[in-house]
Amino acid sequence: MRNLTPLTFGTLLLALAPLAGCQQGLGGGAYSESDVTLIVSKTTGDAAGGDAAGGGAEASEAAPTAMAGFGTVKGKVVVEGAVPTLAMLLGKGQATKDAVCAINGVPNESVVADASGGLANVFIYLKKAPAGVAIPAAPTDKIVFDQKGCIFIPHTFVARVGQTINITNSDPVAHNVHTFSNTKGLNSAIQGGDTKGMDLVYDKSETLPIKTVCDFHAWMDSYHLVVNHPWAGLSGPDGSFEIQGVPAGKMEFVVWHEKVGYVERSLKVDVVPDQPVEVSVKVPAAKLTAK
Amino acid sequence: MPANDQYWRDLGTMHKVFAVSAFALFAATLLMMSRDEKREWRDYQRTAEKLKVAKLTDQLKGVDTADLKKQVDEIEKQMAALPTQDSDAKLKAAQAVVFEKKGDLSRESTISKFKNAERDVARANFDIAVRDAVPDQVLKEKRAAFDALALQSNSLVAKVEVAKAAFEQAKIELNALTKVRDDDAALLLKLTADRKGLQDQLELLKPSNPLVAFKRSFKEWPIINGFNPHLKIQYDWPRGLKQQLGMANIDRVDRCRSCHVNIADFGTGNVCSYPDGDGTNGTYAQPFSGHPNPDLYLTATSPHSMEKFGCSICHEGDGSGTSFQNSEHSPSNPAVAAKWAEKNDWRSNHFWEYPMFPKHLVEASCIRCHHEVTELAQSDQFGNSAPKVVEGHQLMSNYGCYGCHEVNGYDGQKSIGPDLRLEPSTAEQFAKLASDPNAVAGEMRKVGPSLRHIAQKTTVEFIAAWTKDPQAFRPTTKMPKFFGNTNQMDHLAEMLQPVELEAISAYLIDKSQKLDLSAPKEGYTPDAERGKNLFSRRGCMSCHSYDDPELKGMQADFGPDLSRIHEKIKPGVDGFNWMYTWLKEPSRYHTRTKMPNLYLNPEGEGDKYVDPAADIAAFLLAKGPAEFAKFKRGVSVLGVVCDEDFTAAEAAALGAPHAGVRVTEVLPGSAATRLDTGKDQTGPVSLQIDDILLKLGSTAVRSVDNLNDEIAKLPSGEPVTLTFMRGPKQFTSQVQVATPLDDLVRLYLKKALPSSTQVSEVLNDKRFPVLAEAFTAGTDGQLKPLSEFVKGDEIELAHPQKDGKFSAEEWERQKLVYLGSKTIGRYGCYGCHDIPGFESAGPIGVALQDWGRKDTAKLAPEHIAEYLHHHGEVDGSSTLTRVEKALERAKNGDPAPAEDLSAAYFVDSLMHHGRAGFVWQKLRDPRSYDYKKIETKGWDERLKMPKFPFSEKQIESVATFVIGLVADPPAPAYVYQPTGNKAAKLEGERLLAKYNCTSCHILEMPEVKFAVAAEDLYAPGLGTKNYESSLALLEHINPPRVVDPATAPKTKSGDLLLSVHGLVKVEPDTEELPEDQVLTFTSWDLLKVGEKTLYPGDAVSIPVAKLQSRDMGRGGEFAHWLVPQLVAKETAGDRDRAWQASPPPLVREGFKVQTPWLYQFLKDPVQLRHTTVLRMPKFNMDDSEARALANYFAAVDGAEFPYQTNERQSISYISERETAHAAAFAGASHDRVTAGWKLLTTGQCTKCHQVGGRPYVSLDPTKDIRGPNLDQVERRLRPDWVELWITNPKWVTPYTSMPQVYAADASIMPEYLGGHGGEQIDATVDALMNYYQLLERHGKAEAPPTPPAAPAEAEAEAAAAPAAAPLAP
Repeated sequence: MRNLTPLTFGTLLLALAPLAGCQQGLGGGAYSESDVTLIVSKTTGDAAGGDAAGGGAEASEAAPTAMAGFGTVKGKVVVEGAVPTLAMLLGKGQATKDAVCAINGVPNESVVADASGGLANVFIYLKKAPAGVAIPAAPTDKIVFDQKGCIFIPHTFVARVGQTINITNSDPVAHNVHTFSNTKGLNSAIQGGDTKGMDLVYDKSETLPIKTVCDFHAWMDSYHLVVNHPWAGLSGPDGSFEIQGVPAGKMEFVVWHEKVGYVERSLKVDVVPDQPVEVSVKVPAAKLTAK
Repeated sequence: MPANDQYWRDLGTMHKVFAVSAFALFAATLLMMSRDEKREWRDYQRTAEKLKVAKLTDQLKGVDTADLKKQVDEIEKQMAALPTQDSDAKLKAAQAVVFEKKGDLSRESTISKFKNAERDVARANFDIAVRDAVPDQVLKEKRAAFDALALQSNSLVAKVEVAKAAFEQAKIELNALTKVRDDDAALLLKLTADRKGLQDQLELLKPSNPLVAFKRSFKEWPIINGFNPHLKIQYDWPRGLKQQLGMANIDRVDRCRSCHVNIADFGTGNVCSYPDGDGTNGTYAQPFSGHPNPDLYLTATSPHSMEKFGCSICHEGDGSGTSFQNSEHSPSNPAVAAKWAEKNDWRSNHFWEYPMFPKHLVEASCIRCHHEVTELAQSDQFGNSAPKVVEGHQLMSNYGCYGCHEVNGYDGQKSIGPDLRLEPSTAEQFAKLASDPNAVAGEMRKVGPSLRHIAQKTTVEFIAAWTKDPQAFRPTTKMPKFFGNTNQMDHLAEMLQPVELEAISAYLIDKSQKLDLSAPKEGYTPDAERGKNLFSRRGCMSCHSYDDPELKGMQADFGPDLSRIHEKIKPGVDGFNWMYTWLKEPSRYHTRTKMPNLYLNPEGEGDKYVDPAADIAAFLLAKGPAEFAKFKRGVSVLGVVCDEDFTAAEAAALGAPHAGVRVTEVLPGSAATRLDTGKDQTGPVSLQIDDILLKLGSTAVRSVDNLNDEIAKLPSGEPVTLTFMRGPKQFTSQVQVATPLDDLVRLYLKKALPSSTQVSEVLNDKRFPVLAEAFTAGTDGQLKPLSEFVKGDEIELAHPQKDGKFSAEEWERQKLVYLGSKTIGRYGCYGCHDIPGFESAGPIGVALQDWGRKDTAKLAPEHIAEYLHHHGEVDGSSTLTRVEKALERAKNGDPAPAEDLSAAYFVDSLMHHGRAGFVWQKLRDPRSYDYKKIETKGWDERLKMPKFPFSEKQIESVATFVIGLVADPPAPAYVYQPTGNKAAKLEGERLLAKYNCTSCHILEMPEVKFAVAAEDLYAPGLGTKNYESSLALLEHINPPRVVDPATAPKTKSGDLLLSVHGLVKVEPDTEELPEDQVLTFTSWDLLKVGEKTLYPGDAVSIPVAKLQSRDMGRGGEFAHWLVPQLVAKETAGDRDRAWQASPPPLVREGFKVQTPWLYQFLKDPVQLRHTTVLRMPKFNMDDSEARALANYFAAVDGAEFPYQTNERQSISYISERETAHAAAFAGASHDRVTAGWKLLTTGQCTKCHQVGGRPYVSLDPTKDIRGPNLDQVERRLRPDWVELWITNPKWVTPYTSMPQVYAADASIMPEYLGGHGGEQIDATVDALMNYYQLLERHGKAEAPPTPPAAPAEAEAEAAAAPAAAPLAP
């Protein structure tokens, strides 16, 4: 790609920009493969213009280095051992504060795995954006973060710095959205049926996914990751994940799951240009049953 | 010429005599003058002058730079180029005009003045004419004359004005011409002002003009310098600070500044002009240096200005002295003394009673005016300015020294010093003090636990074992050691101490009063494991420590360490029930305990029934009781110590055969001192050293063991024949062997009875004699109590029946109780413990309120020099050697350990009969003054002060405090008597310490200091949810800290140095690379850095590399310990929830709660929170204390107290708001307060709070977050605080779960106040503040019907519709 002219870059960027989007995890929300555009450019400032101070600045500090190219990292997160079966957090029809919550009951989403042991809702992301790689602008489309049946939907998602998260409430009762962000905490009540919702935009990335709870309904929780680069993914219902356009070279990924914490603090992957690299992540079942 | 009748003496001789005496007188005068000229202070002042000249010259160099010269030259050049009067005609003309106009003005003014005078005469004439009632015609003329003159005068005034205007105009014209020059001149003056100032000062000291210089030096000549000299003695006359000199109470005069010339020389901003040091690097050695801490001392802005206080009121010594020796300086150790002796010819002066305090003890004088002492440690401005004396006071208070040594701070109602006295211990004492208008009652509680019901708590063996050596059982105990001290190492003590210990135990158990103990519910099985968890959660560890791996990290020493509590408590169910009762209701066992009631009440039903007190008791007692040494009682002894290795050679030397045993010591008061030689016989009446015991009865004595065994077989009081040799002679005497108990009883009975025979009778009869009438009924048919007839402790030995007899066993018991009573009385145990029978006993020690003035001749050092020569150290080595070594090192310039030098000072003081040394040694080893004295003292005369577990540093602090006690307060104006907020704060601080409030509650948030580049500081900003209009309220309650990036301190690399108060959110992850480690901190501050504002609740992420420092703030040690425990075990990593479960910080509490409510709450803390794992305990607090503490929090924040106006409750306020509401929402079906009530009772508040009588619904109480019941708000919280809290809870308590309900960018419940959030907040606060009124009006709130589950669109519609029907007002 080093042979490409800046003009071609621009065209590429424009062409691919609408495709760039966030990834959403399980729990009722949409799940889409990440589609990432990569740019190697001397004018990183322009390319990263959409990003807020944090990420763009970091990446542009070092002069662009010789980039071997971009590859794909894909793989599967598998539970080793028997997947624990978890009781409902709120049984169907069980007496509770707001009866509406019990209409369908609330499943325990802290461990979601399929029959093959593929573990969903695992965050896989680059610890830091590699120096010298221009970072594309955050997607402009909103992430809808809804609450329905007293469940946060989606249960997990990844957001970019500068990307709008639209928090809505499809339930007839009020919730409070209480995030444990280290940069921009929120604890705001949201009225029942507020489908217009409120917007949340992060200015800075965080190193770990952020928990969100509703204090009105003690069981409600959700996790989202805020990154200042596009190299982050979530494992799907079958535990598989794919991150495209990862800069080639030795990359360090963080693998994190809400029940386990760090599955891998630093998963080293040698990304080969224009080729997929298969990664297999194993999670011992014991870690999923621990309190 | 011979003498004749004209001359009585020979004139020639007389001339010679006169001549010689004239010369002698002249010489003497010269000598005096020369001595006067040589006085030290002159030299010091001369040197100081030289130093000042050097300093000024130096400063001048700094100011008089080439740069300045260049600027000045430039301006001067510029000025030179300007036209002058001579070169410029225009200027000259203008000046001439000004001159002329000035003349005009002056002339016109003079004329006008004269005319005015004439007019005034005319007016006066007219007035006189009116007075004299002259004919109208004349009056008219006079009036006409006045009018005419007035007219003229007015016209002249007008002329003056014209002239003045002309003059001003001319001046303006001239000024316009000379403006450039004038400006230049002004600039020049400004530029050279500093230089000129310095030059002028220098000129005064060192005139450049030789003539002036000569004049100055001439003025210093002898005789000439008698007239207005520049070297002279300086006086300070502080008013109202009298001093006692001999018998006279006279004004204080301090001349210290005659030598300490620069002591009060401070520049602007209280910067010391002559900083103290060794004379190098811009520092100055004494006496040329300035006083340290000028913010606090000497400067006019300080609380102790030079002018008002002088020097000697704090430093003591002779203020009028003008030489090193005369001013009575005190060296801080003998090494310094040696240096002074060499350099200043200094010697110790025994005749000056109050020499200066050495540097390390000078804080002693603070308490002369600061009678509360604690204020010295608690100044916002100065911090702890007298740590030593404050520590001394604290130690005296904490260790209960006042139990024996009263420190009476009052002379009638007048405060004369610190007051440390026991509170009245009986109702009678209390009533007596209350009825005496001139008495101020003591306030201190006994520091030890009550022993009134001890029999139910522990065993007799434990009491003895504990009393013998409390630290052996619990190293951290505050109880001092009464037994086994240096005057109890002899054979007599070895024999008597165990009996005394047994007697103390016997007395306490015998007198113990029965207490009703409670027990857990029948059939309840306490769970020790759960008890351990409760022990850590319910707050026990905020005062107590417990050695356990799971309870590590929290060390509290407010209460005793409980690690071994199980060993001492009575075994079995009795002990368990005692523990249970104590935990549930501490004041039942000990009415004045500081242990609060922790509300350890049973909870739950059926299987879930938990009795926390029983569980904790089970945990504490799980390891079971320990065995303590049993008593060896009732063994008879003879009372001699014999030689174990008696040799034939020794026997031969004594002229005796080598048979029997040799006496080496005869114990006083023992049977051996009471030999009965029988009737009509002569012989020794007591045994002596070197007597050889041959036979006991008919049994030959062969060895020491054999002798002791034989005696032990005999019952006490049994007579036995003793055969012994003294030299060559052999004697036979009767001896009644006795137990040590009998010996001691005999010792005390001797003081109660006139003769030894009677004493023996009592022992033989087994009863104390009582008058027969004690058993005869009086006229009323009643017997008088026995105590009417037997006054002292002997009542224990008197039988309550007329001819009653104690059995042998009872008699032993009674004797023990009798001895116990004597021993407790002798050691003063009741000074710290509540002991039955000693309710009205007074303190046994010497009162200390004026000990600092004690006549040193009355101190009895006894053989202390000898003692310290041989012993004195903990390891038995010599204190004198230690001190000498330290001094030797100091002499050789080798830095000796500070504590050794300090010890050297005290030893030196002790050797010179000093008070400081005496008290120092008394605290180190209280019994050392008995060294070689016990040989000649009775057992009960031995010194009895116990040894406290103090370090030498602590001893120094206590000594500092004690020598500062002088009961000699200065004029009332000087005695520190704070009022208002200051007083409330001080009293509150005292109580915070008394009840250990700060262990649970944070009073000042932890602070983190870090560096950050101004542009990197991340502040999310106000956002759209917050109201800009509420910022004023936020700033009122949480005053902003403003940092100006331009002027703020920075690191070398240009980063701003900031600090934030708050709590840790995320600790740095140590598994990450060091450069990736980040500390995330939640700010509780409102911090403004340039344009950026960090609101409370915003997180600050600080890379570890940028971290400067962290502290833990003030208080909350237990909360800080508990939170990580909860995070790990209970809240699944959620730190905010853990904080919600822990004791709340009390920052800005004064803005939050209403003082009357807080008072009530402290007295009776109702359960407020449902999220905490523990609740506020009920302290054993007096009304006045609760009041003071409630006021404290308001005083700290500068909030209103003790009463607060609550405008929101006033009728006029409500009606005004209602009118405005009706106008704004015409046609609304409800009024404003109703809207507020509906918002409160149907809105989101009900999700977490019980409100409007509607019960709170919870699915899982362990998980649900339940807020406080809102019925409390009206009484509990201040309206402003509530408003801010509802506006944005995170601004008040960042860790709260309470959401922001009414956001600025959203609109909810539009049927109320148009959905305007700000208005809704206001109405909600009003509703909360009128809660009960509204509850009465609207009745209990009903739970709204649950909206049915429906398609989203329908839901949205439903939500948009009014939630409740319109309400009637």
